[in-house]
Amino acid sequence: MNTMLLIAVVVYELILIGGVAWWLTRRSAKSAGSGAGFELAGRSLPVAVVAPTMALTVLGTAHILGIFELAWGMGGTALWFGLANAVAIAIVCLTTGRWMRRLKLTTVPELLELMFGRNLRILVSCVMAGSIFGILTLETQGLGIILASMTGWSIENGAVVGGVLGVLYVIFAGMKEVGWINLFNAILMYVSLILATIYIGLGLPEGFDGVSQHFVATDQAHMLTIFGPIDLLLTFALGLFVAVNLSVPVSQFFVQVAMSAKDERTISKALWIAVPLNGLFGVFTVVLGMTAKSLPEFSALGPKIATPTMLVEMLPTWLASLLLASFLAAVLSTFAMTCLGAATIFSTDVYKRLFNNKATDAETAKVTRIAIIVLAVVAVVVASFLPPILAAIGWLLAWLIPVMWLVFSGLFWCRSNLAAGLTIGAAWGANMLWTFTTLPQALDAAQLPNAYIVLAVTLVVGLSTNVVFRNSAPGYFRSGDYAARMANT
Amino acid sequence: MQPEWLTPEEKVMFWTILIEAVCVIALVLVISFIIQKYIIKDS
Repeated sequence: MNTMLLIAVVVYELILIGGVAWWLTRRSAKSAGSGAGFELAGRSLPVAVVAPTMALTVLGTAHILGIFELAWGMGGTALWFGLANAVAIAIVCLTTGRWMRRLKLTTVPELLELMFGRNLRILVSCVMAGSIFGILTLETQGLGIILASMTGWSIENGAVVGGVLGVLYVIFAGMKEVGWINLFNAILMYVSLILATIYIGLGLPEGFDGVSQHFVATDQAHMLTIFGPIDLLLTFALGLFVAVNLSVPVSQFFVQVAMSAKDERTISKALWIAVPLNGLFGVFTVVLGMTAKSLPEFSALGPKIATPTMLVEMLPTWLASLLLASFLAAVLSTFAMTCLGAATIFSTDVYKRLFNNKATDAETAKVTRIAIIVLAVVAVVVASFLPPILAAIGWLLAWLIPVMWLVFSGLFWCRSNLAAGLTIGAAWGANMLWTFTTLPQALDAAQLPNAYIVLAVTLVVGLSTNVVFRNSAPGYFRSGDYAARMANT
Repeated sequence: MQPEWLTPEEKVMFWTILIEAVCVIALVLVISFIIQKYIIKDS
């Protein structure tokens, strides 16, 4: 077991988290623990904090372990996973993030209540929290696997330590704490990734040219570009674009970052930093994954552990520690935001909305903190059984596709509770049928991902019901409700 | 299915993938700029 590596990384995370928490507590003793201050950083975050937090929130296990593994089979085309998330950041900065910040909302389901009433808010709250919890479990597994693969520790121990670090990442000052830690970690992440890539490149007998020659010689030249075979682009890349870009822009754990920004202009400016910061990360992980495949001594280990093993064996301890710290930072930031997002839904949309309308900000913050701890503990327990969550990620994201439709059609077109209910019921029903029955095989369409099916059902039912109920209330942005709300704020 | 300008002899993995990624990200930023300037009218 590489004890030095493990201790160095854990000590780094503890010093950074402790330092930022202490500084924030001193800087703003009064607001750090209050409700709006905890969940949304008092809606005061500047560009320098919003941008790295956006970039790191949708940059987690799948960007590291997932791309290492995908690059093994499809080479550069695997990068489309990272690029799909970069596009999702742009969509949030241009649309949903700005709108929800303008309306001074705390959660995405709150917007649904403004447009379609309380019942839909509660329904979507439960489903969205479940979807986010699935992602949280994936990140918890990732923490365990990354620590295990680079230090030789057990995955269960890694998940527990990762879970504790993840809770510490968010529990002291909530959104503000996550944001400021992310600022430091984003710098560390890129410095260590660039240094590690240079070091690996220099350490190869023929540099990265040798890696290229390996793929050309083994008739895998199509892996040397991100524009791989067209069938792979249509199934993998396009499928990911649909699943990610029609779900992440309405997912609480990501939009919460935008809602915490100082103003709408801050979100617009953050786009210019967050998109490249997020999108370029995958270049390094793709290249490292392909390099490991080209070296026989690591290739023999298989796609799951070849790259982490190569990094530990080829890099000096100080650089391997830096790189492991940066990988952990990427996963911890997503862990913290998924915990905070799901906990905020619980405290705002369930506890405050259903059971204690008069809850103060401090009481809500307390419930959020308790929910964070409970969610993290359950995620660590579930992750210890290593369920195949990665395989379920498309299914998890597909649940939010009809929510995206409701947000856009409800804001700009028309608002009918019945149409909304029918659309969301049909889309969620299709997602269940496509996953748990033999319908895909019966239709000879098993290769179609859930995202395509849910999108098709959402569009058909959503469009037709909106046409049938077109005389219902106008889109929220065209209504008197919106004008009245803006006049009061 | 390869872009013709990427003949095997010219492929240098790291730079090819980096440049392609930068081009895609630049395209996303240009589209975002156009939306911000002409649709949202933010700047």
